Amino acid sequence: MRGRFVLAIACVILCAGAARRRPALRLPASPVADGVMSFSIVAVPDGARLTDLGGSSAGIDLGTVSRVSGARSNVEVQPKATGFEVKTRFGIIIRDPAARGRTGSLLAAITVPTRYTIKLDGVQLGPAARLVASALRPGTVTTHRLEIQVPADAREDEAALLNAIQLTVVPE
Amino acid sequence: MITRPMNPLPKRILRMIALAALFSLSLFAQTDPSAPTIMRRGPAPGEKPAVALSPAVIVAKGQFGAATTQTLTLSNRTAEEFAFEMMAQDVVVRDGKRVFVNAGELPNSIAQSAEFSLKSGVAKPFTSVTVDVRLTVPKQTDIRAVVAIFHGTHVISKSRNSVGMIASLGTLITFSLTDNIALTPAAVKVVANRDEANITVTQPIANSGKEPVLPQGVAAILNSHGNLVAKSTFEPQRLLPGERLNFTTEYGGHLARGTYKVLCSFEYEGKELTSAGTFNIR
Repeated sequence: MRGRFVLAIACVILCAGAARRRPALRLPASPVADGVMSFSIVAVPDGARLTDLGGSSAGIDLGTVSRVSGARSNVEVQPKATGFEVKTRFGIIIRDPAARGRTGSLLAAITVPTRYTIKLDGVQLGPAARLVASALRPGTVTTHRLEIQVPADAREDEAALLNAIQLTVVPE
Repeated sequence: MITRPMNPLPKRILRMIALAALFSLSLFAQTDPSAPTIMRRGPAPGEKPAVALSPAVIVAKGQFGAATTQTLTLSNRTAEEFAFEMMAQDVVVRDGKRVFVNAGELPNSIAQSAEFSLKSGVAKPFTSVTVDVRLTVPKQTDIRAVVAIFHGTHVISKSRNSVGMIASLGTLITFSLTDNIALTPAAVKVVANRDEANITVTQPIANSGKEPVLPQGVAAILNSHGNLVAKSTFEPQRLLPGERLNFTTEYGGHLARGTYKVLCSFEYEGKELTSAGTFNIR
């Protein structure tokens, strides 16, 4: 009697569990899922120094820059009619040890509204993520060009570009 | 009234039932959206700290109106917390390039149907967080790819002299929904440099169908007698509908002077695509 009671309870639990997990309509074939992708922001020989902010995030150390004064090494400052432009480089390395030949796309966006014009690899960044580079090969450092156009009337307190750039890597 | 004594169930069967009940209870625990699975994991020896996402790609086949639920795991192998928001975007091709469009901006958006078991969260250092995403394909849509993104939201820099860069990672999810699968090749290009012992074969291919495909191909080089003298494999690349990519392979061996034929052969979804070209080594 006790055994049958345990059997009945187990059946109820199993049926309820199965009912909760299964959607009413499913894609008929089992999806194929594979790969583990990661990426890191790295310094490159002709680029600015990076501040390691914990693995995948980083800060590009531009130093103190102005229209007339210099900056840190590998940070170029060019006066413009409308202000000045700061240029430097940094690297990205993606990893996907499981998949042969899989490449990645790099998307970028600005996370904080700013009057500065920020370009990555020549692509002007905005609040919506845009594709800036594709076919990034795992294990290979790719170099990316960062350009920041600072308006002539920019105040010093505007220079705090907290979390200015969002970099997203998506497998291709 | 006569009753027959019940035969007691064997202990082995009772043990199996108890195990099944425990397994079922564990399923309940995993489907609770407020309780993401968290696993502690330290970095492997020699491993550079990074945030990793698994799976990288999900390839789903099915029909319009169907739904799928997939589990994504973000592993934070760094010493810092990783705060995130989940978001989905449709991936389409415009002017030959992939474009990532916010959910709901395109008609019949698949990304708009995304339901995440966790909308935002924090992955503590050296832990993993799993999030289930449920996607429903509309009854009619031309969209065949979606990206589910762990969108980094943590504040990382307070310096006036540095530009903070936040990392985010996405899983690409593709859908094959019809039999309209077609690739169109363009002319094969061969660059042969005898001095550098290097032959580059490039096969441009356009996805002229409606479904994503992952062609896998090989280039065979035949001499003037039709004998195979070299073979090289193309790196597989995924082609979304409307996308055109160059499939390139390099052969690093020496070939004698002469005229050669290159045969490019690709397999995709049970179909074959072949094209040919000729080149000279002088």
